[in-house]
Formats: sequence, C-alpha cells, structure tokens
Amino acid sequence: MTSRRYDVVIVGAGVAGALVASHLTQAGLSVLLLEAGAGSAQALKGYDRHLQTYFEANGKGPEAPWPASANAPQPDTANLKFGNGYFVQNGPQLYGSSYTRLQGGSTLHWLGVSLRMLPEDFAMRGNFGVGLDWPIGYDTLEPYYRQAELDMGVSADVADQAYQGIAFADGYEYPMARVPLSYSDTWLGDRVNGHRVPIGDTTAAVQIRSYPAARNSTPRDGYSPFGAVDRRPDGRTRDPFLGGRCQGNTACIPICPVQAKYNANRTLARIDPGLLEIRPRAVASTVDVDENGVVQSVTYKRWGGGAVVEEKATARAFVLAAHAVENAKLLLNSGLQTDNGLVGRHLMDHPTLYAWGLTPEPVWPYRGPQSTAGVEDFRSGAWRARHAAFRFDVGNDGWRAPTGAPEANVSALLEAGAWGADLRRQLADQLARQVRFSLAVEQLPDPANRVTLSRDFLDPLGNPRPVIDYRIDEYTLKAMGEAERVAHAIFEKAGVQDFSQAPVDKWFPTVPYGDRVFSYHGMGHFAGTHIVGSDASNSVLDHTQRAWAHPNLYLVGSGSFPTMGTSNPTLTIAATAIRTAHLLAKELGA
Amino acid sequence: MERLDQFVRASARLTGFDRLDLHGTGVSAAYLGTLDAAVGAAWVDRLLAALVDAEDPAVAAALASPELGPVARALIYLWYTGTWRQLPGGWRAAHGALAGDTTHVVSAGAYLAGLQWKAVRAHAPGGDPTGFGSWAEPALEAIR
Repeated sequence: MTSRRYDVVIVGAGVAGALVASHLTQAGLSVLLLEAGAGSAQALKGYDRHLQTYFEANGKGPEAPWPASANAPQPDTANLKFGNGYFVQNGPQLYGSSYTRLQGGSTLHWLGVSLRMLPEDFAMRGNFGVGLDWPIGYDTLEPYYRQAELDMGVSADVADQAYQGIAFADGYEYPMARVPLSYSDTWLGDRVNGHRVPIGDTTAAVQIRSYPAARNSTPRDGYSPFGAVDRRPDGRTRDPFLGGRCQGNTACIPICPVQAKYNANRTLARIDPGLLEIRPRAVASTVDVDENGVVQSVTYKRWGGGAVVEEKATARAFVLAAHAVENAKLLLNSGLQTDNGLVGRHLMDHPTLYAWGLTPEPVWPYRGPQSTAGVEDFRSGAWRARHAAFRFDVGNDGWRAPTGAPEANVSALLEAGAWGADLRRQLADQLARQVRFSLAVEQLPDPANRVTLSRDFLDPLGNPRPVIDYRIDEYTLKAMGEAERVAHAIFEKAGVQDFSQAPVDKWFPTVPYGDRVFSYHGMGHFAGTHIVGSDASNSVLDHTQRAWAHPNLYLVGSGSFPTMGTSNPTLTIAATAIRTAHLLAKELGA
Repeated sequence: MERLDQFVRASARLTGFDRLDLHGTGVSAAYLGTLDAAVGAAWVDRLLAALVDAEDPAVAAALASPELGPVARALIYLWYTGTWRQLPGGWRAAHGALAGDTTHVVSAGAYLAGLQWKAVRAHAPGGDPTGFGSWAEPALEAIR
C-alpha cells in the first residue's frame, strides 16, 4: 500500500470524522480517512440499493437498510430480546441503542434533530450539584454551532429556538426556514399551547414547538442546499447542488430516500479529493504509541479484496472519530487506558418511553417527516437537582414505533372478524387519529456504566466486541415517571384518549421502579466514554478533545461529552468536532 | 373468466377496495403467485369459488370457516401490508405446509402498494411522498 505520510489520519467516516476532514482540508492539510465499513452509500446506485434492502426487509427497524458486514459488526436493536448481538450486555439494564459502521455512519439513519445544548447543560455540577461540568461553556461553542448548522444544512427559525437561555449571534438566522409543522402538530398546539403543567415546585407552559432539523427546507439568503451524493467508483461526482427539499417520505429513520436529510457523505463529497483519501473497509485495531505517549501509527485491517491485510497508517496527528463505543474500544484494545481508569466509563443514552393516544377527530398522520415538533419545556429547571430533564418528539407516523401500527391494527381488526368495506373504514378511522410522543430522558454520567473488552468475545477479524455494563438510576427513573405524567396531562388537555398503558405485541427492554415497570428503548444517543475535563485527573481529554496522555491524539464525538442534557447529540458532536479541527489545524501550523 | 380476474374480484370483496384499485397496485399477479405458492392452487381455487360474486353472508361464512378463513385473512393481510404472513400452526398441521408459506415481504413494490397506507390517505414510508409542506394540511382523498 501507499506509504504516503498524511498530516492527519482520521478513524471513522461518520459526521464527526467527515467534518474534521472537511475543516482540516480547508486549512490545506492532507487527510487519510479510515472507515471500517463499506463506502456503498456514497454513490447514488449504492444508496438506492440500501433503499431497496429496506423496502424488502421483513423488519423495518433503524438498521434495516444498513446491514452489518461480518468484519465491521454493529449492534442491532433486533438482537436485544435474545441477547445475541454485537454487544455483550452485562446489565442490569439493556443498553438499547445501535449505530452503523458504514461510510456516513449513523447519520445514514438519524432523525435529523439538530438542537443546541442549553447553556445550563454544560455545568450540571455547578448549577444543580449533579453530574459533571464541561471545561467549556455554551458561549465558547456558539460560533461552532453556527458553523455546524451551515455545514449540515439546518432548517429552523431563530424566533422558535431562543428559549431557556439559548442565545444566538446578532442577526443570525438558520440557513433554511423551519420545516412546516404537520397538521397534527398544529391540531395539538391549538389545544395545548400555553397550558401549564406542574413540574418540581413550579409549573411549565407547554408548547408544541418546531425543532431545528437537518432536512432541506426553503433556503435563506442565497444558501444552496445540498442533496443526494453521487460519488461513483470511477471518481466522477454528480453536481452536489441538486439538493431537493424534504418531500415528506416519513422515513427519516431508517433512510431518507432522496437525501434531503443530512448524512455525512454530503460533507465528504464536497472535500477536495486531492487532500483527502477515504479508505473504506479498513478496520482500525490499535493506536500505536512510543515511550513518550506520542502516537506513531494506527494499525488497521483491510478486508473485502480477498485476504485480510494488516497495514499501518502514519501521520503527524491522529483523530479517532469512530463512535463513542468504538473510540473507547480502540483505546482499550491498544492498552491506552488512562491512569484514572476513565476510558469507557460514563456511558450514557437518552432512555426513552413512548406515550400514544387517539385524537377525537382525524389528524392524518403517516405523512411528512417522521416528526416535525417537540415539547422542549421540560429541558430546564431548578428541579434538575432532583431528577432528570426530558424532552418529547411529537411523531407524524402514528403508532408505528410503540405498537407496530399500521400492521398491528390490520391484524387486530382481522382477528376481530372485520373484512371488506367495514375493515377499510375502521382501519382508516383508527390510523387517522393516532398520535405519539417519544419521551427522551436525560442520564447522568455514572462511572459504573461502561464499555470494557474481553478476549473471550472477538469478531471475525479478531477485534474484541464491546462488553457493556449499564444501569438506569433513580435520577432518570424518577424523571420517566414525571415525563409520563406530563404526557398524560397534555393528552388530557387536548382531548386525546391515552393508550400508553395498553399492552402491545412489540417487545421492549424494561426497568423496574418502585411498583412500576417502564418499557424503554434507546435513542441512539451514545455518550460519555472518553470525557473532556478540566485536568488529567478527572477526564480523558482536555477541552480541545486532545488526549491528556498523548500530545498528537484527539478523540471526537459524543464520547467526549461529560453530560449531554436533553438535546440530540449530533449538532454538538459536529460543533465540537469543527472546533477541534480548527485548533488542530493551528497546532499543525496550517 | 381469467383466474387472475377471479382473484382480483375475490380480493375486492375481502379488502373493501375495488378492482381498479387492486389492479392499480401492479402486484395482483404477484399476489396470486404468492397465494398459490403458500397453499397450492387447489386451495386457491376453493377460495375463489367461495368468494367471486358472493353475497355478504357467503363471504362471512368463508371467513368463519376453519379451512378457508385463515387463508382469506392471510390474503387480506397481504393486500393491506405487502407481507405474506405464515398461516397459523393449526392450519399448517391440518392441511400441510408448502415451502412458500413463510413470512416475507413479497417485493419492494408490494411493500409500497400496501392498502393500509391508502386507507389512511397516506403512503408507505420511503415511497410516494406527498411533497414539501403538504403535511401541514389535512390529507386529501385520492383523486380518480
């Protein structure tokens, strides 16, 4: 293989790796990007094959269009029930999330929610006496949030988003106007907006609010949206400015058929190929350091071209952007656990409950983006000293997620003996009135929640599989109860009949709390396995995401988050990655 | 009468969608093949004989019958979802199971053509979207 020396080697071609590569190459640096999975989604033909795979799949879960390869295995939520997946789960709770090891990463099947973290989220210890503090605050990150919103193409109106201390630069607007709310959002909002619900020692006024989404909407001020990527095997690239607006395919998860929703290949396709080499099917196995802790190379195994070949990539600096779990795995597999033992610890997610109900009249779901609005009014409050914060997604896809509708409705009606015009009428009546909230609850960094490795569990390339210890604590469980209560209050105010306690045929992990049992699922929001901190004793990385112990090694992604509040992590992953790229470029003299 | 036409007539009685809707899915011939592969042509012909041009009580009787009922319900489920769902164990034990009787999505086209989406004036996730912003309004009835 080529012995070319690059300025920087990046491991992982997801959103973090792609944005780091983008900003380093913009500074004139050369980059080698190692990706464990295939590059199949970067050409339109390959992407369409993934779409076809989804259409033909029996199960339509988030992983359906993106099957794993044996050499770069990945977790699949379908494996949770039988414990036979990629993760070795020690419990006591099941870690219910998945990610994708393909070029493009998990942005291939994310929802597109692009919330900024709240200023108060960066100092949970200082503000509420729980969790940890970040070494940087919202103000430091604000310019990078703007850059991330530009790079990813986020649609929103500042007027909707300036709440709970979220401040925007003077005159700032998002690159595109907000995605229109769905009819059911507006129907609900007309009935509940301004309704006050008790929380802690106070009350909060509910609002069904548009959230920022990395989905193409109506551009502002000359912004050119980016659409489907088509970088073909012969190197030709289709005009990337053929970006269409969201068509309402109601399939953000697991695959936007037209790529109106951002995925990391959109960033990669715009990078100068003279400065970037992407090497797919190259699974990093170790980070190799000298006696001073300086990284010399990354060892990786290439597969897919006959025999598996082991190679080393060398560079001046190294960036691990392989995902919270895979980053921790790489450090641990390299014998680079820190003296404080924190690599792999503080694993978090947003464990999420569903609330679902029937409106008294049709609200016409199963159309539009999978969701367009949220309830953000319970993300902030002094009560965070006692229990977690939470936010809701308001769905546009009926009861698909909680019950397996509409198939589940068809089944139940057939069981009940319905057929013909009567079946059709009853089904239409049921489906047209379905609403769903996802109640995503914050988790604190708990050092006992962790990723470890065991030589007893290896993948086909001989790389260890992640072993997960995971517990949902009282702080989060209490908030699950609160979130359910709030959802019920909103349903009641709107005249929505609450079905959340109805038994369903679908299987979910459960967690007991007092005399309750919560059925929850993962949100895919992995975080906390290599946290940033104020000094080497309390963290793995400094505020620039550089390893305290390794002067030329950076780890980016949500693994760096000491806390993550309630916002979906992607925008903060992007903002922190861009900041690190800028600081690293300066460090390398670019 | 052509067998396919009989199949579509019988399917119209079962699903509440008319023949034009069913032919318009583009998967009617494939579904007849799916049914044949799952239960064999003899059972299919018995089902068609019971349903084509049948009055409501006769259709209800077929659905209530332990022989034809499970097959008819599986056929309705197929039309609504695009998925053939394996017949109940009791039916398979009594009448013999064919290799085609496994739970499967018939094709990408079948998934997209599921009548369940049409019933609620919507579309299968990932196909036939209604266009930017259309979701802000109540759903329109299909235009003929």
